[in-house]
Amino acid sequence: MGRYVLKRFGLMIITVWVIATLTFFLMHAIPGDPLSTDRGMPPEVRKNIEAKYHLDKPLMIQYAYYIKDLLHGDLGLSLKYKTRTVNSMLMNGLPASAKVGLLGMLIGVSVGIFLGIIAALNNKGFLDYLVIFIAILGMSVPSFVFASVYQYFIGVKLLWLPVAGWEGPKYLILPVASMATFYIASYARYMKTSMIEVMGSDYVVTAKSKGLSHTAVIIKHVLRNASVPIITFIGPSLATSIVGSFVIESIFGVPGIGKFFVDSVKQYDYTMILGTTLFTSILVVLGYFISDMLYGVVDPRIRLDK
Amino acid sequence: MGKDNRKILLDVKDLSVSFDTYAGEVQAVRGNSFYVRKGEALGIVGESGSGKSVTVKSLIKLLPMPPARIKTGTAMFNGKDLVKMSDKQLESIRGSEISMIFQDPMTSLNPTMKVGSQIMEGLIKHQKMSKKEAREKAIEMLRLVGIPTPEKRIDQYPHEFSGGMRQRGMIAIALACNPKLLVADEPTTALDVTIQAQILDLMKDLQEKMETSIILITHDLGVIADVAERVIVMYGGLIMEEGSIDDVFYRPQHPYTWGLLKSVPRLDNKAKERLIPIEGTPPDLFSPPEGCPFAARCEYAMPICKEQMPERTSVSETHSVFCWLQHDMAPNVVNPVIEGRGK
Ligand SMILES: Nc1ncnc2c1ncn2[C@@H]1O[C@H](COP(=O)(O)OP(=O)(O)OP(=O)(O)O)[C@@H](O)[C@H]1O
Ligand SMILES: [Mg+2]
Repeated sequence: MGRYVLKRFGLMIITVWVIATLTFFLMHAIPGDPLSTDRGMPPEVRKNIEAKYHLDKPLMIQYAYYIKDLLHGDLGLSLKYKTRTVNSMLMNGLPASAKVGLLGMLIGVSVGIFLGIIAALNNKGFLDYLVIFIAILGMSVPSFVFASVYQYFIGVKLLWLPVAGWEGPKYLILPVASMATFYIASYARYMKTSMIEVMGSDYVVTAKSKGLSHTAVIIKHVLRNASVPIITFIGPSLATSIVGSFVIESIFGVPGIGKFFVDSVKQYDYTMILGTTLFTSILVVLGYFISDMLYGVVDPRIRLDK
Repeated sequence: MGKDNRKILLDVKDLSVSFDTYAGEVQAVRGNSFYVRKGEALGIVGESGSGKSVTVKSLIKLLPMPPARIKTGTAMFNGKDLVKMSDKQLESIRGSEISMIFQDPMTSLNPTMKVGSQIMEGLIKHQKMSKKEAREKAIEMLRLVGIPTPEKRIDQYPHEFSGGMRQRGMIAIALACNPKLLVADEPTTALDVTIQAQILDLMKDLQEKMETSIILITHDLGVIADVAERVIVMYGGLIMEEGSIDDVFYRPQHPYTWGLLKSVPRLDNKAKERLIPIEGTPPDLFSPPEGCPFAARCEYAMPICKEQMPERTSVSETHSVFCWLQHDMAPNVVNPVIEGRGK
């Protein structure tokens, strides 16, 4: 087990390095220049800034600086907000993003799994069709549409909740609901599919042949096995939800990472772009790692000592 | 062999089972009658799709219903009709009075549950044992089915067991509550030959010890000859022939049985006899033929065979067959299997 974890960890580091390298070179392959939006900048100032950010050096040297800083956990200075580091900006945005994202994800995943179970137990019945309908709607309609719909009806028309802003728990509800909608839809579908597959398996017939009641078969034999594949999705969902949804954050004015990211893309603030991308990918890779570890808890076949 | 006086444990009459599918009704079993005595081992043979599994699984409703549906028939077990039983009544029969072992030991155990717990479940449910008692009994069962160091094995998961050991585990589950009837649906098909023999020996041994009746399904006649006392030969959802091992192996009457016997390798025959598969394909169960389902592949088929299913003809007290060749007006056909053996 220890060796397996170590191996997975090493793989994780390599993955993050590959992503960092790829984003770095891709960013430099895109035409554009972080300083080009500042029209009136005198050439001497520009030279100074370029020197400060090593932009005047060859690409490989820039890359070496970049990796060296990364190893110190330093994502560099923002090119736009010249006095602030990327790290501090990420850390500023993280609490809001994580609050909305994690809450939305946890609620969404729980409700989704619950609906999936209901659908599977009512296979081809009314409730099943209802859940499938919700799932298809939730997965095919983009989240900004839901966000706008909630905002318009609940915020503007009914005046039940604030339209946007970030001043208290009340302000959380609509963005969290918008976030949850997507997770409800996808997890309801995953769970239903997984349950149906397990319910048709041989060992469920064995369980039934022992004289267990339908309820006992579902609880003791179906649920655990059906949740094995779901766990694969939970880690990455967890990771991506922490970073929040850029779209939902900008609709509801949540001061999260998403807002910085969108701004930095618009302004070609490439240290910010690199930093955010890297931060997200570290979380995702970590998410997969968590999934794999959880997998071993639920499924004894994966408890490897390889 | 003298007259068999053992009581009848299971008496199935006119059992028909269909599946309602989008494409139409699949008539998998079409009005079969058979019985099993106390302590007896009955074999059911027939090629793939002949309705063997559906027949036995329908008895304790292990088929998904719908699409499966028992159309007609009764199945008297210990004086009560299984077909009419409620779900609750069936739950108390399954695993305690009638148990099943399935074909594929790799998939019939729950991969995320310890083997021991899987044996204990039935004991806790049917014999109201405490966890501790059930655990003791589960260890005892594992020992009984020949699993070494059962105290250790009981806490392992199925993936830590080999295929043969898993099937032993299945047998332990099935026999834990000392059932009156054990239904084994191709229990050795998925195992390699040496393991097959061990599992069959184990089943025979336990059957004698525990006086359990067995229904053994297989398409391997060798297995039947080894374990069963009586045989049912099925084809196209119907019983073609029924009799003792000697009846069916040495005095077979049905051309389908002849075909089956010819397609079996014979260890006692030194001549390099070629295996002769039966020509043709099984009947379409969506619209099964009016007459004998085997007529289309039968080299002795007469016009009547395609029009009407023959009645049961008794050849002897233990032996009966469904074939028009038994009719007085049918031509005399020499049994090719006996012929071959004469030489
Ligand atoms: N769930 C189902 N839906 C529709 N048809 C089915 C279903 N299960 C079985 N059948 C049909 O019933 C017929 C009999 O199947 P059964 O499984 O009893 O055959 P079998 O004799 O056990 O064959 P095998 O030796 O391959 O196990 C087959 O033609 C099969 O297609
Ligand atoms: Mg079968």
